[in-house]
Amino acid sequence: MEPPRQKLFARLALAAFAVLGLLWLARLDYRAKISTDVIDLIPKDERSPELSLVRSLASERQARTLLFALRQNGAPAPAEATRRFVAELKASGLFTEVADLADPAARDALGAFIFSRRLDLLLPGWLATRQAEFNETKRPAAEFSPWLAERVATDLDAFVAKPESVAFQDLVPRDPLLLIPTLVEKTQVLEGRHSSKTALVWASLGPSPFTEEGQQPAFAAIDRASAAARAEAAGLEIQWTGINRFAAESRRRITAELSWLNTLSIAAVLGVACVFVRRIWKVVHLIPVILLSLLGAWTVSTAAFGRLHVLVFVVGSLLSGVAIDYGFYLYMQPALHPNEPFREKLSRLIKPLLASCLTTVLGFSFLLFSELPLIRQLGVFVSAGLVSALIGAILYFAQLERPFLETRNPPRPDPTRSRKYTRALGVLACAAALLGLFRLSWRDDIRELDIPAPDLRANDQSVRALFGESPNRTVFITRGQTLSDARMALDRFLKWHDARYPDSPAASAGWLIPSPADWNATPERLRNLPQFVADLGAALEKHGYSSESFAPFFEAWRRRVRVDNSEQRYQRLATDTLAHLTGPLGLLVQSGPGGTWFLSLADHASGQPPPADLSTFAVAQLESLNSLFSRYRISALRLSATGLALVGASVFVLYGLRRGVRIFMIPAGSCLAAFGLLGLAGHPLNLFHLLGAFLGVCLSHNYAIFSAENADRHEAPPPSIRLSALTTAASFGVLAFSKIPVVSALGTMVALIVLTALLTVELEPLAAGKRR
Amino acid sequence: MTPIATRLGHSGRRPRWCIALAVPFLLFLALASARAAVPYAPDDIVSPSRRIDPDHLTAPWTDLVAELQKKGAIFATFTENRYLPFKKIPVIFTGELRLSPDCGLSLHYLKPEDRTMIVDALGVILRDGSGRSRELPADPRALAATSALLHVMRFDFDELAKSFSTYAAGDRALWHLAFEPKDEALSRSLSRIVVTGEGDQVRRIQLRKSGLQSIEILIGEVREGAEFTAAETKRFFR
Repeated sequence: MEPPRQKLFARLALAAFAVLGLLWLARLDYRAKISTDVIDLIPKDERSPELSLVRSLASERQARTLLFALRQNGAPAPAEATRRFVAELKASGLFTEVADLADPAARDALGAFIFSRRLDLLLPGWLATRQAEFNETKRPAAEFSPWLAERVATDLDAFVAKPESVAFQDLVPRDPLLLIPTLVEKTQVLEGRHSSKTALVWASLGPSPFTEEGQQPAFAAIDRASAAARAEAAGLEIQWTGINRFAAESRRRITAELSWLNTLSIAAVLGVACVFVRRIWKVVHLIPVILLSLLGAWTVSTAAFGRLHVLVFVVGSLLSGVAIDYGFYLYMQPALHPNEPFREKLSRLIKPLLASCLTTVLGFSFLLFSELPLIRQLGVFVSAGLVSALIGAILYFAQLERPFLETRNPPRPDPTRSRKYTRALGVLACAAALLGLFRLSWRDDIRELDIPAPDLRANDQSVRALFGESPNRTVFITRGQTLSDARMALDRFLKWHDARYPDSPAASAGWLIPSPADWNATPERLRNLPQFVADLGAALEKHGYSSESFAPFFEAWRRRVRVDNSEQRYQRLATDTLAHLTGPLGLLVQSGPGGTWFLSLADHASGQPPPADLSTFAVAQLESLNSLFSRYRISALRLSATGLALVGASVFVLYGLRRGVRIFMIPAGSCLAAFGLLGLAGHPLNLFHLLGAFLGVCLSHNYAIFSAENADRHEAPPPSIRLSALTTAASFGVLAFSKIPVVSALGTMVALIVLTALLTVELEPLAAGKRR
Repeated sequence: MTPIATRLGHSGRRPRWCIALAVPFLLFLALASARAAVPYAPDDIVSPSRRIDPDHLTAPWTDLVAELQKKGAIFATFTENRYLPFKKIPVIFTGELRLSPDCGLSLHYLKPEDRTMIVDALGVILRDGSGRSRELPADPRALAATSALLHVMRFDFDELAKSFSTYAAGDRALWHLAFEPKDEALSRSLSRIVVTGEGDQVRRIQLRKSGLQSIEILIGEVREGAEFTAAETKRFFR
């Protein structure tokens, strides 16, 4: 191709690529496309059912909960102010539920429902328990009715002798079996110990708290409600928490951090360029290469995935460090002769360029096999970015007239004089790195993914404490394919739990629904008690009660005996009951086509996990996610190692064994040295150090390949390596100071590996003692 | 072992001298109880003629209420009789009452079970013998009824006047104060509170729901100006 046509083709190709990419990106809905939710880092089809449950619980139910505490002069907010606050929140239309916890309406409605259906809901379980107790006495079955009647009267004696029984006095004539008081007593723990020093409001947000609709509009609605409440009560303090506050803060912090980190990175890169480049303005020609690389990465990854996590872009912005390598290499290679056309120059440089790019892409492609969506997305982002960078660099420099960036070369020490020092330094570094490798420690903590917000965290803990949440409380989830399965599993779990923790029995809203076994056995049990009403009347008289006061109960009992228990009635009963669980109680049960789960709460710290056959697990959510994080790290390590092996194998195929070993040793050695240094420093590592290492290895792999050509010609390493490595180290080094743990981990790792690789490439000829 | 009766030289029949001694003793006990029993308020205590305005009290109530309000911390024993519509005899509780101007009212039930009920400005707490506490749900109606007891013990007429109409009968030697809920919802769980006293001592508090259902708290030995130690405050108050 003639140079003018070559330039035209290159420009047209670049313009087409840029236009298509920008058009694609312009039509995207970024709110829907980019997630800031930590939970989105867990795969939707996570194979562990426990984690899937935690995922749905965290994203669907709990995450939407907002908690408000209203105080005035250290006392609960006046009722009118709280009412106004609740009314304003409801009027905003952003909340599906808003409940003033002091308002007894919801509790009364639930109480009235349970009371009206007590013989359906609670009698089956009560009868089953009493039957089991009677069976233990080994008495003849005919004695069950009088035994049961006597037992009821005795329990009633004990109950009325409790001071607090005064609250149930009106119910006793209709509920001498004490079904309701027993349920209330057993489920106390579910309601939590709400603070009485504040008025408490619970709300459930309609839009997801991770979306824009769940943040700014919700904050505005809360501000309006606060202003309205303050109009009722001057000096009203409103403290609140919700996941949307954390999500908004994360978004703000990421944006702020990225802007100052990017500014500092650019400054650092420019600083390095000023030192090494003769005509600094010519560096401008590298910017299009980086932009084209990022455009390619964004376009391909947004096209490949329905939703991407914001961390992909945070981590992916570091791609510029890798992408610039190809530009540097092409741009800084002097022409062999003054009239050397670009095609000729390219043809001699294409092998290392392709070898470097394609082997790196091959390695990153392996990340597509990861379980973790973030890693898969990152694999696509970086691979697409690298291919775009290479193509972009070739096309961009193809349309320039004699592109060449001249560098200042620092004086090199005499290799013959510095050889022994260089070797000693190398040996020392190797020893230190090896020692450090034995001191490596890993810390898999999901919080590394979060943006630290200590003030919000403290506020969150303080508000949750007011709502009765305590670190000494353990939450269990019992699951089942159907409601019946889950209910049976709940019975098994509670039996196991209460035997293990007799002083802190667990409570569950599942108690409201009878177990299928008890439900089915009830008609038969009732038919076996034909004399119970008479027996109970006599027993009550004997214990000093007026049996005629209990006429409403006797009538209800007779009616219940006549009703049969069908499966349809059971399902209808369960559906009606669940419909009455609103507000915070609605979080305790979930039933749908995907299955049913019940939450159980117990006032003790989490201990030994329940056996697997109980279909129950403790929701130590953080621990579950940490173990998941750990599993992903191991998976990522396996994939990285395989990717690295593949890169190494490709190098051996392309460059032969002798050159291949040298090329492979530089990135592998630099990586091990970086890990060793961090081990020596006692710095705990996580998944993101591993990802950083993979990026660092790809970068140093480029340096090894680019320097290999010069090494063969006994020439000093090309200046592009020095400039590339130093600019990369400077920009990643800046990231090491980020307050976002993930970014800091990546920055530290990449900067260390790149610097180690640069030192190796630069010092290698000195250690060999060859004058180049 | 030889039965006492045999040792005394008698058969199983009750000795005549024993009956002779027992009759006057029982008579004395009956008289003593009759003297100790505080009369109940007249049936028409809640009538327009007996209504008083807490903001404009007249004699003898001005001085009496002022004295009662000045009492400060109190420790007393009490007996609580609970009359239930479905039980033929009342359920009897005994215990200790502590009233602190700062911490509220604490009813420490000793029998039949060791329980403490704490009523203060923040609500009601129930504490069992092992020290485990639980806060009763902040139901405004229940709270109004229980906190009424605290206001009665403090003779906080300002607070009582918000929810109750006040009536009075008797004189300084034997007086009755009755409080009737203004709110219909509240009156469904508590129809009347009657406090009976002699001089500057409260003798009985009746919390009445209906003719068949009421709670009667009989105040026994009273120690005025009681000082509660830190440990006592921690154990018996919030």
